[in-house]
Amino acid sequence: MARIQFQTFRDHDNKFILIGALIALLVGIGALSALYMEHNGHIVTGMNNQIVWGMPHVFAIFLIVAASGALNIASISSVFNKKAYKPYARFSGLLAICLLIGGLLVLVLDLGRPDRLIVAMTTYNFKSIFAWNIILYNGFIAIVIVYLWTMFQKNLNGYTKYAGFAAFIWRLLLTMGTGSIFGFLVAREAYDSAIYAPLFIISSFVYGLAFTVLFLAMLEWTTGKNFMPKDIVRRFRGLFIVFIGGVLFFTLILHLANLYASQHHGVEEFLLVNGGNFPTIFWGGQIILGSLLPLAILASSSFGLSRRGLVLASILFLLGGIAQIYFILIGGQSYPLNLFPGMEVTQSGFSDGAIGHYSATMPEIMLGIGGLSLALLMTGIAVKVLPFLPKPWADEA
Amino acid sequence: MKRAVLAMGVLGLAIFSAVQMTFVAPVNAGAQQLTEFRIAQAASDNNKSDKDTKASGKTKPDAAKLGTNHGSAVNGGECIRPTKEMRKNHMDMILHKRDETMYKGIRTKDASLKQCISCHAIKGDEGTFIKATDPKHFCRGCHDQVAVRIDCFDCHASRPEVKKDSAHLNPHQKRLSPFALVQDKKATATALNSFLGGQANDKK
Amino acid sequence: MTRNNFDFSEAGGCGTSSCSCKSQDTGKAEDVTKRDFLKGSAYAAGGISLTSALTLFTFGGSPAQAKEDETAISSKQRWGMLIDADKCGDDCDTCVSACSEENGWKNTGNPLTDTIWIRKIKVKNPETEHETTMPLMCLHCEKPPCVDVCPTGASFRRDDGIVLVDRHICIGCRYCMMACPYKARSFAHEAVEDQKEHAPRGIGCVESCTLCVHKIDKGEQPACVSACSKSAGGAMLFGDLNDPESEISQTIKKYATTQMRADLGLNVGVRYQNI
Repeated sequence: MARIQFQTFRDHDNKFILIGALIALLVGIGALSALYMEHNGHIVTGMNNQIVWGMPHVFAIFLIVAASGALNIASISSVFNKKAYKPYARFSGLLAICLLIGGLLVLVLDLGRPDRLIVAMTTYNFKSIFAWNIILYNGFIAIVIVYLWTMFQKNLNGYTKYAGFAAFIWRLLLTMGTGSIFGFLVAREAYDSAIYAPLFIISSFVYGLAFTVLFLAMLEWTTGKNFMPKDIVRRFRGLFIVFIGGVLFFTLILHLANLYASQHHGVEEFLLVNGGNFPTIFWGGQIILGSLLPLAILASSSFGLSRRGLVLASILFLLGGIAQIYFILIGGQSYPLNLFPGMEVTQSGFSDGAIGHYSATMPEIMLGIGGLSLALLMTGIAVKVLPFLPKPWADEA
Repeated sequence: MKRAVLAMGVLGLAIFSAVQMTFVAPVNAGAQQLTEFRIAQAASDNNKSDKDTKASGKTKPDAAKLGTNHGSAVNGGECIRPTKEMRKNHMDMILHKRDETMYKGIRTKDASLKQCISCHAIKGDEGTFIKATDPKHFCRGCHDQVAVRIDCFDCHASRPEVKKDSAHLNPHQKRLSPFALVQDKKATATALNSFLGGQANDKK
Repeated sequence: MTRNNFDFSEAGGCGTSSCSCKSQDTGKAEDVTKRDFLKGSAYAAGGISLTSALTLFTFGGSPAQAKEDETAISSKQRWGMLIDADKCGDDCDTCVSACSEENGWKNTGNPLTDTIWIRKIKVKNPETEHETTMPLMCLHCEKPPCVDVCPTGASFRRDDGIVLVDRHICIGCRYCMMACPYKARSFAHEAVEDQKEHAPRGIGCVESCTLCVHKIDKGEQPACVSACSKSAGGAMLFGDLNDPESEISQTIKKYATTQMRADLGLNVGVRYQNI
């Protein structure tokens, strides 16, 4: 088999620079938002004592989950030895690192005391899944850098398989850890389920692949060259169908298991039927717009096999992903804690028993978008500097 | 491929230093300056230790005018350790005491922040104790000069308790940003001079 | 040394013998002078508020043995509280205002973003229409979920059972607030000014009831408890759950008491009666 040729990204038109500038602007706005939030405290956000995690966490978790999923392409090529994905292995590793850094930055800048980051890095409570996640996140970056190194340096290519295997295991642990943030919350009825770990893993495959497809499509758009040959479009489509099927399956099991126990009927009714925006976000956002519609597009044998179909489906998957995380995170927190099972709270000085209210403010949304933008900006710069990308394929008929 | 490794290293370094510059560097830079400051201090201490003692007695009345004091503003007594030792080690002493109190419930006065505040409280023009937001505050004399942010007073009271307290929450008060380290240079210089042993008074 | 502060309502108990008495003067808990002592004695002689004095007499006056300043706390004690909902007044918020006064937090009418250490809550059984009111604060669990989830270990449990936040290493991630089943914690959303000397609190950290740890370390009882016994129904009983002789241990042995969300198996330190 002919050796795959890699190259730095070139021959693009000004659109690439323009997109880069626009994204850099968003990064700047994100940075200012973080500074503003840090300066005034969380009073300037929509987050409060009941909805303690808001928009920044939606973006952070989305990006972190997507990061582990982005590595999937590389894993398929090195661990499962599928040669067709090899040209994208380097890029896949790069995108994974960048998305993770973007997500972590949002998470860190939302802390009440971001200036104490050093404390989080040096003081650990090993019973906390959060502390483990800090190690998993940092370790992920380190392992993927080693993995990339073995791919880049010819005389280390023999080790790629092992590094790839380590990275694959690590990324599974990482996504499991992220899902377990919710799984390990005994008090909140919407959480406290081990199924969040596999649900997040399967979701990560979808988000990561969608980011990969969209970035490649952007490269094609700005160069007019072919970065996704027909064969790979077909393969990506197949992966998407399997992955989103998995997400739907785990989501179904999650809610079915909850519905079986009558003590959870209240929270399920709230989330799925009458809880303000949340049923709309779930059914309309995650299920119809973010899963069934793109699934229908991909299922069509003509449009689904076209580049356009794949790109459109990817956009929908990402929107659905944001809706999914928002639904899990904000929806789950909005339902009041059950302090006295069987009783109803008629009065409280601390909004006990009341549905939580949350409306995100501009700074926190911009902080989240800033993190996403930073991830893309870093990826864009990196592909210009180093040969992460394969040489474009010759145009097909 | 060397180029690849090199550039990847540069990328990593860039990210690392960005984080460093944002969160860690201000503290480190301050610490370094503080060390230099301490060395200078130690040298000057040796030269004029006797002048110090004389001055401290004389300067008492002037202290109010200067808006600061290097001794005990309330009790007029001695500090728990010699000044030299305090300058060098107060942060470690407070840190040690902090954990003793927090985790073991040991509430002796020695090196307790509450006791520092109570002895070193300084009265402002209105005759009330000033807060750490005032550059004349005892702690800020040196901390401003050496650009070390004091983290204590985001949470701890920076003056002895005032009997009637009005607003606890002031939405207009902004926290000290970790980026804004030195506030009022002129006031700092005055405060520092006096702390260093009443030179200003001697000249007068 | 035990501070000889007189708690007026406990005058009967204090009048007897060696018991150490509790300060009521939450505002100036520090450095009580001889004058205060004498003033207290005068009231004691007057024999005010007989009823509550009677209730508290059995208390032994010394739920918290005053420890020496330099000795460390130990797990020999486990501080706890028993709240009798039947004695809790419907519209009474004495405990809440006492806590606010003692610890310097303010309810500005925005429960969503204020820091609230203790609040009153009223619950109704929809079947029977029976209503119960009671205060709710950090319940100081034996196995606190907030401590389990805290990434830096800032959320911790003292040897004597008091659950605290070490604000020095709290990074403000709010995971403990997600984990607490009782919504006991709140986040300082804004800068705080003029804190109490003994109750540091500040922006960007999570805070909650400390069981008035600064008072317990001096052998006094929490502000809410003394306020309730002084000027309200005496619904709150504070003491050492590990000491079988303490009044709280005796009471929970004798009467049926409830652990809130006992199903979670957290073994809380603040128990309820008659709910």
